[in-house]
Amino acid sequence: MSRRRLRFVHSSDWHLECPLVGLTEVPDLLKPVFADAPYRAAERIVGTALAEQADFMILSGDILDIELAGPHGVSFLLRQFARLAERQIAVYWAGGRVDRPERWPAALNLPGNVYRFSSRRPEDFLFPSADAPLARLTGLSRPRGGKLRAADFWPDPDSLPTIVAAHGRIDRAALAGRNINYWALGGKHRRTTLLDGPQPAHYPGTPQGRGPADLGAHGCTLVEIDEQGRVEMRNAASDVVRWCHRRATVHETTTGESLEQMLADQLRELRSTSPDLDLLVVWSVAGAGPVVSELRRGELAETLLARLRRRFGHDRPVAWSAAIELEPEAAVPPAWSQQDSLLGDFLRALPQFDGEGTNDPADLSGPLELLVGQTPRGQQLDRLLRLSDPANRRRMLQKAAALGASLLTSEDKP
Amino acid sequence: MRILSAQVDGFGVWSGLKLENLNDRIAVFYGPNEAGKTTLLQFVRTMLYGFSHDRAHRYLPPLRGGQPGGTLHVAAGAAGRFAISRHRIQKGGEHEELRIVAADGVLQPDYVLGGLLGGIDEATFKHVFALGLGEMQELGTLGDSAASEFLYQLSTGLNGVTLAEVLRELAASRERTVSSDKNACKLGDLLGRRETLQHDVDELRSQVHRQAAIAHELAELETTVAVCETDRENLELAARAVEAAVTVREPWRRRAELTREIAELPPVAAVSPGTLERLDVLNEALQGRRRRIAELVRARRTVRDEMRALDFNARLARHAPRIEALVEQATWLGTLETQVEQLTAEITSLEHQLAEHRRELGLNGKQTHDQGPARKAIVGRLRPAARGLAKSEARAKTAHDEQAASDRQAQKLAEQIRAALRDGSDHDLAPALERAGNLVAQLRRRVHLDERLGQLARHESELADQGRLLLDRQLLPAWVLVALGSVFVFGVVLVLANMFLPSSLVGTAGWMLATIGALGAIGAAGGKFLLDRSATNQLEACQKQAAILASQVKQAKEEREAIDAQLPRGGGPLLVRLQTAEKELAALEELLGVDSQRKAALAAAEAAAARVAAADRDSREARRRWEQALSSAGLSKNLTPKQARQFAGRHGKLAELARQHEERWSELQDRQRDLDALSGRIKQVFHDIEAHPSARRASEQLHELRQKLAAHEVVATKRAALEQRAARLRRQQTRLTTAVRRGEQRRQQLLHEAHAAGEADLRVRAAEHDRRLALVARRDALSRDIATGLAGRLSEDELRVWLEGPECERLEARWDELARQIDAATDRLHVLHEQRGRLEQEAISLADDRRMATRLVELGAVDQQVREAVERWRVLTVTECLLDSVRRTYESERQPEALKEASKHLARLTDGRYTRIWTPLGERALRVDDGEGNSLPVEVLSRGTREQLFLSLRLALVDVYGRRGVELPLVLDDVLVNFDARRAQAAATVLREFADAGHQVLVFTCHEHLAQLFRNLRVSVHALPANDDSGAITVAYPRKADSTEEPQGDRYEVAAAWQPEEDGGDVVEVIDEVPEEEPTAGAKPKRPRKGRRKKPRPAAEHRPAVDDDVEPGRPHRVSVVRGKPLQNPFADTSWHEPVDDDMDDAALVAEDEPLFEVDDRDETWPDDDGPRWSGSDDWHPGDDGHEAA
Repeated sequence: MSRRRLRFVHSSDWHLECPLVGLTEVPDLLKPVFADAPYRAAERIVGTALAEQADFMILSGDILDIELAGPHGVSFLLRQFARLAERQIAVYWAGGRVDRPERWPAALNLPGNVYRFSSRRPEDFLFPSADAPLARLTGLSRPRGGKLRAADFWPDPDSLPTIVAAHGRIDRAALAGRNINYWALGGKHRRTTLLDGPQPAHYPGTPQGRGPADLGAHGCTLVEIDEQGRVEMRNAASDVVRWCHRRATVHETTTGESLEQMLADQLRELRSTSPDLDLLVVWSVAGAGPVVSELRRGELAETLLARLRRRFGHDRPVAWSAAIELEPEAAVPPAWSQQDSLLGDFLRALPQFDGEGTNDPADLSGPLELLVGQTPRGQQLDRLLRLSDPANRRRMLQKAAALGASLLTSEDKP
Repeated sequence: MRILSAQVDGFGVWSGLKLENLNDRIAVFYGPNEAGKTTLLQFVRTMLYGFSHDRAHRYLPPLRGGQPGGTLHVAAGAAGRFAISRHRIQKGGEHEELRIVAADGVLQPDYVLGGLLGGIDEATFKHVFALGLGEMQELGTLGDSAASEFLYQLSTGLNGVTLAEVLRELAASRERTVSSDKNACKLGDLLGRRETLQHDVDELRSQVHRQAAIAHELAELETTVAVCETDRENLELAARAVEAAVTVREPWRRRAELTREIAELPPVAAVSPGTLERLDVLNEALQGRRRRIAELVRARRTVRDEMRALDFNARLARHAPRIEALVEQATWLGTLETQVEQLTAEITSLEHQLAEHRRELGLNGKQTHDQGPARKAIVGRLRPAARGLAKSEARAKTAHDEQAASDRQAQKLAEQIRAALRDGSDHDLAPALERAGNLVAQLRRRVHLDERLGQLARHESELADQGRLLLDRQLLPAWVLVALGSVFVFGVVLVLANMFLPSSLVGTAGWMLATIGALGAIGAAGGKFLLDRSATNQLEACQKQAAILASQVKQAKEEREAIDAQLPRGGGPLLVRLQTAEKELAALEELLGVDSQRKAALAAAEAAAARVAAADRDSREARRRWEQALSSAGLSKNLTPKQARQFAGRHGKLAELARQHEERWSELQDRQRDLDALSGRIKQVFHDIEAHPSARRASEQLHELRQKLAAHEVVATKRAALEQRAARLRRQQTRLTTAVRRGEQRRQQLLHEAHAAGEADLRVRAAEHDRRLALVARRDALSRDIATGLAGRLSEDELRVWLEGPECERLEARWDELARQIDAATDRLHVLHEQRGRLEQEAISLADDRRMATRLVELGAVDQQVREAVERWRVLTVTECLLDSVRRTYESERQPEALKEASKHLARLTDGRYTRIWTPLGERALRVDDGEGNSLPVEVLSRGTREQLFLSLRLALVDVYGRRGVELPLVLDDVLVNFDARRAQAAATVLREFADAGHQVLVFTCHEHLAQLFRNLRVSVHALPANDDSGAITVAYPRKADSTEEPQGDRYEVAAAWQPEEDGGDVVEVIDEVPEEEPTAGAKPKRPRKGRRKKPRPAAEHRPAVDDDVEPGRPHRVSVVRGKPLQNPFADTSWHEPVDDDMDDAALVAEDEPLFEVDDRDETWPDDDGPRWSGSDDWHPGDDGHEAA
């Protein structure tokens, strides 16, 4: 057992080479924000290690793709390592999918406080102190195409706290009973605790959400192991740009102006609760009424987005409205499928195609075969347009329902 | 669903309009242009489908005020009738309020409207159930192929042009996303942009390798620079050594000369540094000490004289400690004297109190001090007896209370039972119960007897009836007697005939006939006998039963009389009395529980009485023991425990006073002894110091001693100070004498150590030694100058090589050569530093290059666009496929049925000229067969025939929907205006028949000749009233069309005269102008459009004058009421029955008669109601179709 508490920062999946995505048009104001967000988030993580006076830092892979991140990314990373070296904070770095150790150029010397794990076999480092080692760090950089095996990692024979650093998927059931105090894993962009309890296995997630799917806060994990080997984990947010989803419910009396006011109020609230973050907001609208009809036609959504961006999208921190979408029940009210009409027949016909079938309209092979022969990029388009994922198929059918409903309804035509 | 009436509260030009009693089959609304027909049609759509954005924009707010909206009253078959109200409300933001109220006034949920509409959405309603002139005109404007496609789509039941356009738009959108056209393919363009960006990114990937190369070069450069810098440093070291040698060459020479001079000086014994100074100090100290000793001798003599002058008492000084010890007891002495006085006073007071208490208690003599324990003995002796007495009295009181409570409970329960029995004759419960039980049994028996007597009476009556019947049967009915007699007579006749008639007459069958006759006669006689016997037996049995029944009745009556005698009189009917008796019995049975409680209470009271007796005995015994205790304590027997407790308390107080007196006396003795001892000690001190006290009290004597001692202490203090000063002076003199002696010894020792014969010899040797030291100091200064010149750059040994070797004279030349070598090394290093700077700058530029990140951001945006385009393409493709699938379903399932119906309508419309509409297998086009069997495509048909085909298809679709349970009114807006006379006549006839088949048809027209056409077909034609500002209007159309009247023609614009084509061919009649638009909000009236004219319209003078057909003074059947509209949809509207379709009765419909009259104030129609209204007077569903697409 260690003679004092150990405190370290566990982080992974920095992906310095990946800017933010998710917008079809990135305004000039946001371009540097999108490009710099991963770097600023990584800087915050190093700042956390310095502020918390961590003993060391564990990087569990996918820190940067050295070619895509380029010299800027390399210089940035070396600067951060130097900041940690000034305070004698060691860095234990297990390579991931994009940052295997052998990809690092030999001419670019890493500082002496950085220890990299081999990708051939698990490697051990002892975290030293003045009189005796305090912990054993055993780790493995992601092998080529290999999956992690819990059996490759062993606890310290002298009962020192043992921490495993690795990148990739690992069988949860195999972790139990390995007597490893902490599994510092990487490879998942969403914060996940694979195994809870006294000897947890944890993915801290990426420090910066990249797209609309990465909603909410992201950061690193501050881990403490006490004298008895008990592990405490604490989250520390590091993102500088945050994707948010907000919902607005409208009714019969809601007008376009009142909806805009509703959304503006929510944006102000968001900005007040996160005053130092740039926000990217995806709106979903539920309910019914004339505003829903206008949103279904599309012009109102564009108008609202333009107004909200004009009001909240030009001052830092930015609160940028990315999209306004109708919820499925608002886009296609369930009562429409009961109508004895063309629209009703169309909507009733949709669910029967939510599966494989010979007359499946989602089977795009016919149009694709034509495309392959006729278009200049036939093969490329064929690969792009072909459907394989059932979830995509279901989502696509929902959108088809909304499109068909918008085309076949004429509720506002006299 | 059929529309029965409409109430327009406010919509467009209509405010407060009520149209009642609409025909549920076919109704024709006639009104000139701008009469508000289109507004009325839009109102109907609004009531059914709500205020759409465009309708609200065009028709709201109402031109003439009123709450926006209105009410439709509809009938929906078996579901009943409903009022559909829809209003636009401004409260809390603009929104509409829908209310559906059933005939019974119950508010229905909104979804009921969907059920009433049969699930038909507004688009389908427009494309199936609404047909307008605009559509007809649009059909006319379409080319052959387009018209063919339009009609084909219509035949499928799809939304005609709408679906075709939707499919075209979907295909076009899909093509825009991905197409074979390289320039118009959005996805291709995006992929091209993506490739460009990807190419840039791939190029920028190599930057990191360049960065690594720079790092490598920098590392090598650092090594080279380090070597060069080392070389230059070595050269600089050498140069600095030569420079130092040149600098220190002169001091080096002078130092060498001084070294030689010092070496040449003669040897002198060194005088230790400071020896002369120490000698001078010793001499001066010796002189000072000798002067100080003389001063001390004089001071000691003066002190001795002062001591002899002081008056000192040695005896008092010797006893001073005793006096001081006594003075310390002064406070205690004063306290003793005070306490003795106080104790003496307290003892006197206590003696007075003791005497008083003894008198009060009646005690004589001197009391002893053991009265406290005596009191305790009395109390201890009395306490058990007193406690026993108190306990026994408490137990007696408790027993008394319990006995009283039980008695009260028993009395209460007995009172309750008595109260329950108060109304009866019994005072006890048991007899009362028995009496009530008997009464109930007797009453039940009595009731039973009544019932039995009733049964017996009924039975007796039945037996009497039966007896009468049987008595009647004793005589056989006449027909039986006749029949039997006939048989008997006939048999006798046969026998007699055989006997008496000649055999020639009866033949061989005579005997047989005689036998039959004999048998018949016997049978008849036997039958009569048996019938008589049976009747007699039945009568006897009946009489026996009647006798038994009479005895039973008698017995029952006797029993009833006996019971009646026992029962008390009065009390009403028996059943009531029985119920009362049963209730009384039940009440008495409930009292049984109360009685058992009463008995339990009595038993408890008896037990409590026994406990009371026992408690009284215990109490008497306890009192006896208490009296014995008082006697033994010497107290009166009459004392109560409380009185005894008071006596014990006062006796204790007397003992306490006595104890206090004893304690004070003892304390006074002790204090007096202490005071006497102290007084003795004071007197002894006065005796020892040989003095006499002047005071008598011991404390005052002690004060006198303290004053004497204080005066003596002043003298003693002065003497002690003088003695101390004398001793100090003596010690100082002794110390100074010793110091003078030691100083002399040190002076001699100093000269001895310097090996000097005397003080003068020592001073000469010291001067020579000082000169040698000065030379050495100069040499050392030169050494320091040399070290300063070298500045630590090299040591003297290294310098010696240059200054004492052969190079000494060539130092300057060597220096110049080294300077040249250093310059060369510096130049090389400069070059290397520049090279390193360039590399570092390049590395910094690479690190600051953000092109890669910018490209990746752009690439992400393009990727997102590609994803969305791909998703869009998929959605478009799937939607198109699915809609096409729906279209195929319609074609396969609905189209044949519709075509079959449409063929019938077309044959009627064309008088059999065209008999069949069909579609070839596998083709998406319609073909029409004529009467001669020729199959024609739609493209070759004339416009008129196409419109007939169009109308046929529409009617067929309504038929199809009707068979599927969807019944909605068919609304036609001037659709017959382009037909010639024959076609119009046929169309009107078909519409009339179509309505007769069960559909509601609403026809709107602004053409009088068409209205007349329908009148000729005995169809009710309703004229619309004027929509001016004159207030609310109620139009109640006739429920039974008993007579009709023409409207006053001068109040309406009469339709253009119309002449049918003489040849009856397919000539298109084109009106010269589009119907004028009625004023609507938000738009100006359109200018009339000129249309094609194949045939000029007749002149106005040729138009038939409507006035000619008016019969003035004829009563009107349409009531037009103007006034404030009522808000409640059911407040003033009776539920009008649908108008019977009694138009077949020719007497009820008069041709060319106006159906209503209009208020005389409405002379003209508004021709311009302001700029905010616009729109067409006619409804153009076809236009809607375009907009929907």
